[in-house]
Amino acid sequence: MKFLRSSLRHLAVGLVAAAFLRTADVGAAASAGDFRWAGDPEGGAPFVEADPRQPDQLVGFDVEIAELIARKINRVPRFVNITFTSIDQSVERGDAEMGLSGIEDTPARRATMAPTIPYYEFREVLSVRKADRARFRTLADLKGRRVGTLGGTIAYEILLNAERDFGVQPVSYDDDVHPYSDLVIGRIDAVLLDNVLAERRARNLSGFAIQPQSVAIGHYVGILAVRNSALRDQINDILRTAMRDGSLESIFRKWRVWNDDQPRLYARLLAAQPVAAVTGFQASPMALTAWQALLGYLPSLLRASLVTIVLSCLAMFLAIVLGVSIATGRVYGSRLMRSLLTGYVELMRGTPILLQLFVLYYGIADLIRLPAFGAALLGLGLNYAAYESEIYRGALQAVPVGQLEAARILGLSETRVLTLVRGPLALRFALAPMTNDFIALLKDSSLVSVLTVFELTKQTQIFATNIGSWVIPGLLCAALYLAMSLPLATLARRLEQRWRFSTA
Amino acid sequence: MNHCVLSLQQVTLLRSSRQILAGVTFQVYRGELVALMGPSGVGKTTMLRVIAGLETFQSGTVQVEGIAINGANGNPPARLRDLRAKVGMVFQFHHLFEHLSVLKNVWLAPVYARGVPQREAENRARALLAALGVEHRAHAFPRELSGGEAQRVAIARALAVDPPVLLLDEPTASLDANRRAELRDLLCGLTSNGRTLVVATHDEEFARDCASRVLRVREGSVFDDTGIA
Repeated sequence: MKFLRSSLRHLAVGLVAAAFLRTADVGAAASAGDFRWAGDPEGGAPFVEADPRQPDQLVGFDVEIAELIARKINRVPRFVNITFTSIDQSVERGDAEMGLSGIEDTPARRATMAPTIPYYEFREVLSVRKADRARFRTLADLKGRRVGTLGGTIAYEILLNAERDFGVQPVSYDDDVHPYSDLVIGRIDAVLLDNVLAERRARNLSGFAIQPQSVAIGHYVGILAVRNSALRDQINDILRTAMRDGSLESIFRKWRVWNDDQPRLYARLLAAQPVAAVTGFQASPMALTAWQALLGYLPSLLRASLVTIVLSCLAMFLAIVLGVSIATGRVYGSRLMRSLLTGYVELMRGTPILLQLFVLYYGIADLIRLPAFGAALLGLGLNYAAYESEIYRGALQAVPVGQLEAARILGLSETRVLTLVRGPLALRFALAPMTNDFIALLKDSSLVSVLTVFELTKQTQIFATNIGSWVIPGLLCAALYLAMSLPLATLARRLEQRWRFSTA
Repeated sequence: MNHCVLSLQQVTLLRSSRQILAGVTFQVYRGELVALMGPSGVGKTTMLRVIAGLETFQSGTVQVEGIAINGANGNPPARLRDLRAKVGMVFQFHHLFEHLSVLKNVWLAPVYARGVPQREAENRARALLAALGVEHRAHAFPRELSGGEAQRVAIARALAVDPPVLLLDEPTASLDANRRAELRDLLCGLTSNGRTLVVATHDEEFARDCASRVLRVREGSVFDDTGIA
């Protein structure tokens, strides 16, 4: 429960912060004196975090760097809350002038955006359970093992390479807290992430160790749109000055992330020496044409579609079985059973499915450690069962009483009346809303990416982030969803025609 | 004279404080074809439904072949099932099972209520449909039948469980003159082997031609027409 509480607390703090900060945005949007910068407070300390003591205030080293820059260009910093994976696109479309939220320097960003010079050097480090410290030293030791990281990062690309080279199984998370908690409870065997994140987690979560050898070296940069290159150059000058006069050092010291890597990085930058985006790992060359990228991603998109369709079909099956049972209980059951089942239905449809998924996967992990796919299946199935049961209840009650009386007068028992007459007739009423629900489920299945299940929407998001555009990935993703839902809709229409009632 | 198959004793039925049946009392004897005559809305259908155990009533007793249900307290489901085993009913609007073929409509109850092996029940169902002249519709669905065909199938379905008493509600309502004559012959044939029929109708001519006895229904009460008590 601890992890759930902490993520819920993050969520709550984030929401409050977002509400306040968004209002501030709107109020100040007209002012030319604003410096709008984008970040994701969910990333948390020490980058950008809502101050736990004052949730309408942001704190973190990225916040202080943004303030420093704004001060030097005589503008007022205005924070724009953007999901981490969407910061590039958001800056590109002009929601903010700069993105600053532990954003990594990559060859792709250098090609498509105007990144600043790096202001911090980090190491990609491997964290493992303490007991495994000796046997899992490098990625090569993790053959066949599940290794977690944040999706859409260099670390994730490193894991994809390691999948090919060493047979590691990459597991993508949406946040940087759950990889470590899942590592400790044994859902995964290692985490590959920035040393900044690893060290921060190590301060309040015991049970894992950080391997000293770094897997790769990367840098944090601010990102701007290419059309803002002049502003970027101005910001680069400000950063160089801050490197020289020690203002960056004092910010990083304050957040306890200053180390010997930084003076070396600053010296090279100030001497105008080139700094590679990433060292120790051959990042995928950018400037893939959209067509090449499409071909490259197609197999993984198709695999992700398979996950989506299999998960949706199994979850729907579960929802139907449970839904029929709940509806039957609510129509035929005792008063106690009826009120229990009503309670279940109201609970499941009255609370967000995302919350239910979190509780199933992370919340009860201390009691039952469900595998990700199992938790996703169960979560979707249990939630949709509530909706299905309402459809069936309505359908059972819609069966004409004459049909039931005809069955009773023939001497059929109530159970037989239900299974032979009422149920099959109700199914005909339920078919159209069920089809509707299945299609909704197909799309809701994208929510399970928060449980590290890699389905179609998540894969598309990674595709889009990596090529820096949503046009082709979006169209392809839409086409794949339609390819799954349209045949089903057609099948349902056919059945409906076959089962058409006499209108007499 | 004959064996009393069916009796109603002082049956009173109120529906939201409106009196539908006001102390109905009558007997029916084996092999009779009794017509319950009267205009619409006087309680004919309700009487049939009471006999079939489909209505709860406030007071009085209904007895069919020794199985009694009464209005005072609720009747146990097992007693209602026993009663229904003695009674078949053909509804005015037939209520054929819309999702099942004609043939399955007929063999469903013998198999699932009486435990007859399916093959045997199917053969019997075909024979019944043939006897009623609708065997060529065996694989049709109810929505594809004409009114007359649907009625014959409904009769076949009711006869398939071989009830000693058969109730029919307004059987002539949807039939033309020719069909009505056929139906009369058919129903008379049904009584010949000792089956008892009670037919609710407002069709004087049909009642005259067909019934062995006519009971007049007025404002929820029954008056004997013929003096047979």
